[in-house]
Amino acid sequence: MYLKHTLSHLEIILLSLYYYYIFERVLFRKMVTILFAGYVIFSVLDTLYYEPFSIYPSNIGFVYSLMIILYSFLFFFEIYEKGEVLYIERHPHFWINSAFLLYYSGTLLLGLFSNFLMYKIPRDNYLYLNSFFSVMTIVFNVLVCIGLCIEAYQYKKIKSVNPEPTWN
Amino acid sequence: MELNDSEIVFMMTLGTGGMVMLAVMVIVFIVIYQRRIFKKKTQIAEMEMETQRLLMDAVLTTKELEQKRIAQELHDEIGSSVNAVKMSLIYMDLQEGTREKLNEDLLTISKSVRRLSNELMPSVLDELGFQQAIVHLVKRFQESSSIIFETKQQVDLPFFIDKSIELSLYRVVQELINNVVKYSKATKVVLNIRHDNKKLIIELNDNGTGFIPAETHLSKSDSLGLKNIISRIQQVRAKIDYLLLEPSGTRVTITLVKP
Repeated sequence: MYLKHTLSHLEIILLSLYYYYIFERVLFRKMVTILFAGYVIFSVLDTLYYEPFSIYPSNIGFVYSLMIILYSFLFFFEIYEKGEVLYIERHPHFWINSAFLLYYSGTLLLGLFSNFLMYKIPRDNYLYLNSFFSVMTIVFNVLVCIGLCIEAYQYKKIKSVNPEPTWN
Repeated sequence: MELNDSEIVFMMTLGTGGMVMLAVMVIVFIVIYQRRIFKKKTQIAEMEMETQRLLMDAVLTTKELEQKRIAQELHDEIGSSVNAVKMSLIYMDLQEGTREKLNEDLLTISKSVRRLSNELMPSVLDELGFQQAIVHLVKRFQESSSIIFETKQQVDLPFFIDKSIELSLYRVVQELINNVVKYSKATKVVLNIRHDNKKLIIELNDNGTGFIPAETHLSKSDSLGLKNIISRIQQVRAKIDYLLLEPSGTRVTITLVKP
């Protein structure tokens, strides 16, 4: 469980950084900073009083899932409001963002009730519910993979259209 | 209320499925409406550009009309007044040499008025047509500079070039040659006009220092000529391209496609 706690914190740090850099609006960047600060305070209090390192951090997981869902909405809102992209599906961050939205929406409830489900329902039922995690992980990885492929393809295309200037 | 195991599993499945469905709906909504918003924004931008083009069109047309009026006044009023003075000189009792001096001055004035009138409204364009007007224009620049000019033209302009387009193209060529003479330090200029039934291409090559206008040039207050070129090119819905030549010089290509 120590490892799970550490991984959760690492996950939210990396994802907050990711969103901090892809947001163009200063307000959204500030929101990421404020939410992250809120998360740090909450996680300290939660670890001290409710879910110590020996218990699965379901509250922390729930909070950061909500944070990431909110970040995804903000990202979509930003793109929607700018209205500069015709084919949003050709935008690599669209796929990565969709992956986060789907994964964290799909695992939000399971994460929140993890401690309850782990000990209160039969193992078979728990494994059945846990398989949702696996399905969502597959979906997540496929979508992120599509996003990365699009990014790589676009980078290659830009390089071939605008090669390094050889003059001046 | 106590839930049994199967009810808990059902509720969790339902909740998770619902959340996933909601997320999918959000993504689909974004994909569809984002495209609509983009199209609407593009439409608005196009409309704004069209309005701007029409406005510019009106400004340039008014300017041309005014120039035409002034040119006519210069030609008719001042030209005939100079002639009248010239006639009066014959009957005046003047000292030897003074008459010749006055006649010379009047001739200079008459030439200046004619040149000014022609610059304001190239009558040659109406009288001889675009191609001859270009020849005439090039000849005038040839006379006033040391640059060697060469003109290559295909005969008969395509049918889709009307008088207003001719005038705009004439003004653009005039401004381009003027810029070459003033800034390029070129020794040779080649003007090439060719066309087929679908497009007209005017190409101006020089062997000067080379110049490609950038945003920085356009933002300068003295870049009126460049701005005029852009406005006129937009007015006739043509395209202008600049290319640096090796080892030196610039090629300016104006392409006008049949609408």
